[in-house]
Amino acid sequence: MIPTLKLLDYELAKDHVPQKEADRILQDTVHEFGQFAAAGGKVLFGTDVDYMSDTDPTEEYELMARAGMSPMQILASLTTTPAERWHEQQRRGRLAAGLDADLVVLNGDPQQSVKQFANVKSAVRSGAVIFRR
Amino acid sequence: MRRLAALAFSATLLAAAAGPAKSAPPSPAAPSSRLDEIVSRGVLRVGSTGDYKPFSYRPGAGADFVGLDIDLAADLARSLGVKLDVVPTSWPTLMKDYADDRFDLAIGGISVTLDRQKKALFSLPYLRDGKTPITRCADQARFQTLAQIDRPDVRLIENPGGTNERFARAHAPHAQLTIYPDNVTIFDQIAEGRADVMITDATETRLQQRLHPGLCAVHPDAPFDFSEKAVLLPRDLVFKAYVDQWLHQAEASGALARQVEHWLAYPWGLYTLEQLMEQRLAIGRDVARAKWNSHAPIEDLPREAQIIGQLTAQAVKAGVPAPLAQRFFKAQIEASKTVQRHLFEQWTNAKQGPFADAPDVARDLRPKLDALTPRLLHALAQNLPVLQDASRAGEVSQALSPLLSSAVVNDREAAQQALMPLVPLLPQTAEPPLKALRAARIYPAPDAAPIDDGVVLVRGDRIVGVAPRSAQTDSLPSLAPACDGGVVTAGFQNSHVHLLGSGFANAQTAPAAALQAALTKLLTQYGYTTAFDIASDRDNTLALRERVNRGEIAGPCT
Repeated sequence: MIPTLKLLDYELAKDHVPQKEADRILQDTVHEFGQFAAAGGKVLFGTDVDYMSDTDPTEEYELMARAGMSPMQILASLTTTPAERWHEQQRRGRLAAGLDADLVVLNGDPQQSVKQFANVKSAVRSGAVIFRR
Repeated sequence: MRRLAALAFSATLLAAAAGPAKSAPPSPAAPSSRLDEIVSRGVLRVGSTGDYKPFSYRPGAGADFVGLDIDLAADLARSLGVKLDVVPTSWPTLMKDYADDRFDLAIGGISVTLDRQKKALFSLPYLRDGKTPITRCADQARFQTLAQIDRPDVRLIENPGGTNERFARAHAPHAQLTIYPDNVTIFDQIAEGRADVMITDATETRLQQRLHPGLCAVHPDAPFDFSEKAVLLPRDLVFKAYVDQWLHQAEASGALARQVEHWLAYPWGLYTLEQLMEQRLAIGRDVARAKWNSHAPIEDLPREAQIIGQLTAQAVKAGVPAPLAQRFFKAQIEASKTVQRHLFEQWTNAKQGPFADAPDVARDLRPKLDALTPRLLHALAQNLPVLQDASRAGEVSQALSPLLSSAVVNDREAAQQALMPLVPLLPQTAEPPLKALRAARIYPAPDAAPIDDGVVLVRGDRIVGVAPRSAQTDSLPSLAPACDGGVVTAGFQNSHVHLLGSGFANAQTAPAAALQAALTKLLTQYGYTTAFDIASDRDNTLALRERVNRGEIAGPCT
């Protein structure tokens, strides 16, 4: 399951749903998604960017946390779960000898705040830096 | 102001009234020039003959075109943001193909002539040239002037249909003229003494004397006449203005001069080696038919031993180290057996009967194979410096790879086997160095304990370990200082993205910097090293992926 919770918020705002109503719908959805995750449902992180013009994933991470996911469960939705889903766990998804040098360097610890997942210092793919702030 | 507004208003009304009368509304941006047509089509169709080094060369019917003018055409297409499609043409049919609109322009060492200009336009010239002789070095003194060449005892050779033939007929009518249809092997005719001299463009004589050490260009700096190379264009001045401006910029920036030098110094001789290897493997197909009929085994060890045994003396004579010559010919023999085995498998499955027209191995095929041996050794010797130069590995693989997709051989596995002994000639690149990424905290995986003050050890594109910091890791170079000191996790995957925005349009041809900026904004700035694209333009995303994987653009794998 790819929740794309922020997309819901984005669509609600786009359709001019009154704020109170929108909050309730979002809250229900977050709650429902939280039950799915708590029951052990496989969660893949996804944002639907380039459909949404706002590319920042911070809100998505916060909504996932609000649904009850721990920082490490969110990390799994970004790394190990998709690697398994695409049958590439022999190649990527964790930091271990023999795997592709695909890494993310964050400025802060996501255990302290899930916002840190979006606070990226640099990104490395196949041993080469593809982004640095 | 009010009057203007009123006018504009009535014009709108008129347009609205006129609208329903026609089935399609008039388009305000109807193509007014070939230029607009090309951009809206997304493809630049470029005619080229593919037989004229260093301008345009095609190693085989299915192979890609290479050369100076193909590079120029690719640059032009890139500047327009469109795909390049090279359309094969030939010298005798060039103007007919032009008239039939088979291409938007033609390029490939085409000389400006008034005859051609009667039907088409030319761009600004990009190279000055002129007709000059090329002959065996020993005979240079005999062919200095046109008067010396225009004699009944001189065997002049020219390719058909182009300006060379026209020049020869006009200026040397008394010479014995042979019209030889293959621009690629025409110089061997002179080298082997079947013709004396050819008159062609000075640029080509310069190139061919590098490729055929026995041949010499005769005064290429002072050719008999003056000519210029230019792009053949349709009668469309807007399009011509664009091509001229692009050429002007290439010339003024020095890019054109660099490209000319690159393609003059290009190791064209590798194509000769590639073609000889192709011919040898193609004979393997005939051998297979002969053995199929005679039920002879594919492997013939005494014959193999005979070939290899006779090789040493020939190799030394040609200037090839004997062990290399043996390795090379063993590989050609193995590759030929692979071709034969694959054919036998096909024929067994198809219950193929005997062939009516099969040649005889000893009578028809072995002489052909034996004749190829010294030519292969000669080509190998000529190309040894290039094959041993690691900095030219790219050119080597570009020139030899057509063998892999050769339609004549039609056996990729065999072609790989045949090329194998040439690969180790390139000095092996050393193992990439071990580097360390230093982190305040590492999360190796969601279910593993974090490591504080640790390092991720990386070699090339692989992780080789994750460890706490130590004196040993302190001595390693940093993967990238910009990465040190943070909290490190495995690369993120965004499992639901679209690569639809204008930033990704024309991913095949758009400038790398623009695509890079779009990817950074969307994905890499948030740490996504893998992205799964859903419901976008598949071909466009694949083009983007290919360019990312080639290393042109830093981006996630999609």
